[in-house]
Amino acid sequence: MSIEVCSVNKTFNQFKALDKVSLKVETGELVALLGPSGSGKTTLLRVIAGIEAADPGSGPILFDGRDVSAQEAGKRRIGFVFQHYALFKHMSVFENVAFGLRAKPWRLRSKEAEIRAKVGELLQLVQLQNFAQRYPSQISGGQRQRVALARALAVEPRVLLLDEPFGALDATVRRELRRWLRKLHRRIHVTTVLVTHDQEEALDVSDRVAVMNEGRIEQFDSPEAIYDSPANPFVFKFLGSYNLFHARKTNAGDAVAASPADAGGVTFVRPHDIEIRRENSDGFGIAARINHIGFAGSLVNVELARIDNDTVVDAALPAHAYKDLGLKPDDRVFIRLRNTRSFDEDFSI
Amino acid sequence: MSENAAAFRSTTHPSRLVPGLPLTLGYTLFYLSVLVLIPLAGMLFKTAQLGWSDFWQTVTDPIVVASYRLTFTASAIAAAVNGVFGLIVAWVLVREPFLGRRLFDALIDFPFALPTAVAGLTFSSLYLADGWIGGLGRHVAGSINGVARLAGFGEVLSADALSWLSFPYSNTNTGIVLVLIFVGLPFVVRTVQPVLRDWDTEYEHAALSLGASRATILRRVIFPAILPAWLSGLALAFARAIGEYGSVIFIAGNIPGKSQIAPLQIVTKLDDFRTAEATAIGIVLLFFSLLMLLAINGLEWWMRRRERAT
Repeated sequence: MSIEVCSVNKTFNQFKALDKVSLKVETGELVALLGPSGSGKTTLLRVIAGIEAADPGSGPILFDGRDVSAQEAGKRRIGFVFQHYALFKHMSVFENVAFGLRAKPWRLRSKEAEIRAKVGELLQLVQLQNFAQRYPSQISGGQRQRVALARALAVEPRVLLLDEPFGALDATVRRELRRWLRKLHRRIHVTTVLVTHDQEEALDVSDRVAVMNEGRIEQFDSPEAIYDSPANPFVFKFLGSYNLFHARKTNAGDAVAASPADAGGVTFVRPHDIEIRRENSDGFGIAARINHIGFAGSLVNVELARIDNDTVVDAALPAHAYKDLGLKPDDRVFIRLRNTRSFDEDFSI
Repeated sequence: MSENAAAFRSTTHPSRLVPGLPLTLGYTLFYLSVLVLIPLAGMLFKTAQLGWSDFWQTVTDPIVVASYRLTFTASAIAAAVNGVFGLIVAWVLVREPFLGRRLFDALIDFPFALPTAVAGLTFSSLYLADGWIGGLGRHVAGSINGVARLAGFGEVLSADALSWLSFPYSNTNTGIVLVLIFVGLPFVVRTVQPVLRDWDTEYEHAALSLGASRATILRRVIFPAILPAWLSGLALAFARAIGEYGSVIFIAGNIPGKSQIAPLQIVTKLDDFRTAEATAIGIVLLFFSLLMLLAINGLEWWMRRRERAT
């Protein structure tokens, strides 16, 4: 089912959490809302769910073209996974998953045997069939996460909404669950919106990413487009580490080398797009000195300082390239910039 | 290796936060002995002087039995009423912001602070047959007649015509329940309040998003969470009501066998210097209270087990 949010506002005591936000999620899509804390991403998710009401005067929220903004959360047929899961502590894993099925008005409620079968199926899906009789306090964080997901899926939601689904888990479990969620989504193909502040997670898992900042959507595009052609400095900065040059690119990125800070505009370059050379064969390189070399597994982080103005430049190069160059601290080298992005004015983050 | 370490850890004492455990433990035992155990033992000792047949005769005397019945029924009704309304009061004080909430919140502790005799006097002057509220029917009838006289109609109502307005108050045993409700009010409120205050509303949102109705959320999500606190509040209110003396004697009719509570029986015996008989009644009260508290704890345990078994 598609979701369409039309010009929605939400204020909390004069704080504008959502500022005329519009967003359209297509049927079966997996969309990530990405942004720093306080950017409004969770609020947007909760407004879509109906847990939070949009301000009066906001546009409608459409599920498959039908306005649901007047409906309660329970009537929208959504599955919501809360940041801290909100599992019912006094109920077993089984009862947590069965909650939505048992909570239906009795005319619509399935028979006990059907409920049991359904819950068994869901527990199988989240690979927790052996934990049905445990209590939330007796299972790990990753397992709780999956119980929360199974509970949300039990009501056969038309839309799955996940608030920081992996936020409280450690790095390995996060990656595992991320892959698993992707697989699950391919299998059940329910329209999914997830909130995250982790750009790697957002880019990795979703079909499209909405980057949010101060209650607005800065860019809504495929992960590739978001990364390769960020719409503005905020998006560029938020998506990873970067080098900032107070200069405007003129040609091939190399003008940055020569032009002073007053050229107007800014140019961004990712560390892995900084190339380090020993020779300045074509004369376009920027002379720099190596300050520090840090190892990060497959990549080597090299911190350099420009000779002309002492600005620090961060470069990241593959381990083999580093070995070939034989770099050492205090070496004098030349840097070249690839894939630069220039913007007219500076925006602060 | 790590298994050994874990095994070692599990055998050591988990918390040694307070230094000098032997001292603190000794103090605790001493404190409890002086305040609770020794007086209790004294009571048993005193009662033992009676001998079995005298004991039995004292505690099964019809007048005494009637007083137990009154004490326990009145206390049970008062605790039940406090259970329901205390829960509502706690809920409103925590969840509904309204003007003067802090003031009302502070008022809850009033029955703790007020000397119970004052409460008894206040209640009796208000609610007994000739009190402001207890005599409401007569007051209202009188006022109407007064107005009617002024308007030239003469007496339109007999003095008892509106007695249904004063119905529950003129019955003195209802008055007993009323003051017991008053003295037990803070217990349920104050035990449930902190649980509700710490309650994460996200659970309600979760249940709501799963399509649960408000009644279902209350019954299956919120109530189980506050049940242990609620039951212990109930038990405390009940125990408090059984021992209450000061306020009740002012409002009760104190007619032996009809409207005399068990603590008054004890005081009566003491006045006659029949200390052993007084302690015998005390022992019986204690025994039933213990039984009740055990039953409530058992109920709590059973409910939790049932919740887990489904």
